[in-house]
Amino acid sequence: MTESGAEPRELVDLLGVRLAVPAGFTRLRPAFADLFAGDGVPAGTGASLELRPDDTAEDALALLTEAVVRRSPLLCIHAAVVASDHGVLAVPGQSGLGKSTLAAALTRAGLRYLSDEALALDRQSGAVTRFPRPLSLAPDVWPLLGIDAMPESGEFERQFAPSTFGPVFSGGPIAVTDILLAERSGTSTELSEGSRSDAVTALLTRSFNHFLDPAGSLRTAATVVRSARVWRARYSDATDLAERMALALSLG
Amino acid sequence: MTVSSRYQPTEGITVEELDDGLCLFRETDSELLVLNHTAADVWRLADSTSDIGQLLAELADKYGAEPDELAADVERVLAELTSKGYLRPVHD
Repeated sequence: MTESGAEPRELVDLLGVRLAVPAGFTRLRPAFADLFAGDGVPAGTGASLELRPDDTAEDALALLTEAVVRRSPLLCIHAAVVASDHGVLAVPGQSGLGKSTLAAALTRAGLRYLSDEALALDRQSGAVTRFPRPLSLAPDVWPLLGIDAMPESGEFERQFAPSTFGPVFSGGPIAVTDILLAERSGTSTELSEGSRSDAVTALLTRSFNHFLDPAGSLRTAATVVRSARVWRARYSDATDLAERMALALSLG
Repeated sequence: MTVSSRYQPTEGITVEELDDGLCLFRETDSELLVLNHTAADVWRLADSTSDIGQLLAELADKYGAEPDELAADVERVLAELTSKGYLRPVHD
């Protein structure tokens, strides 16, 4: 940033938030390229993303997500999000669940990527707007996901463009048709029918911004869950679960 | 345990019906409570019946049991929903 603060800036619209980002942000392309494609949603609350010259891609991504999901007029829920031919599959979960790995694996299994971070729901209709962040992946999962690269010394995570793993969803708002409640445990993959009550609880407890309209957020979550199939999975291998899930979705 | 003869939902409770239960959201402290089928039936009947005797009779009819068999469990659910602030006793 220059001392005058008049550095070049670029406006992007993400999840209904008009965000001014330093032009230097684009040097992080191609990992962030999908985010700059725009979603065509009306610009909501404005925000300005402040980046220092020494900020890493991980720093930039964390700041961007923080700026967007807490200001968005959409109900934003911590989740991995992909699309099948029928609609959106959402996997709500807290940090550490392995959402990014699962999102990458699901994309490799033939589903289309919308986000590894936020299920962004229109509060009235429940329709989903994509948030195609780059995926931050630790080196230990790279071989699992077909990434043929060696980590640099001390490298904790690396950003990958979603298109590394498969198609990125490029359409407009789309309905949620499936919700997967996933838990890493055991040594095999078990996929079964889940409970709608558990799904509503999972969506609300993983929300970034339900506090903007708590009762309305419950209505939105319940509306989405009522019209979706709910799945429950225990798994240890994300690629195995992704293949099982993709097959189940392809069977309708 | 003191059980009133009638109950009503507390004001400020948002209710969402699901096929496997009921979600209650209390706006004052943003608490979410999910009821299973049976507890959801108690909630609905507490809201619609004239007294606990009628509530027990309707539940007994639905579950094929005698009202006395259900009384202890129903009173426990009512007491819990009341203590958590989702129901309030109505005093005539």
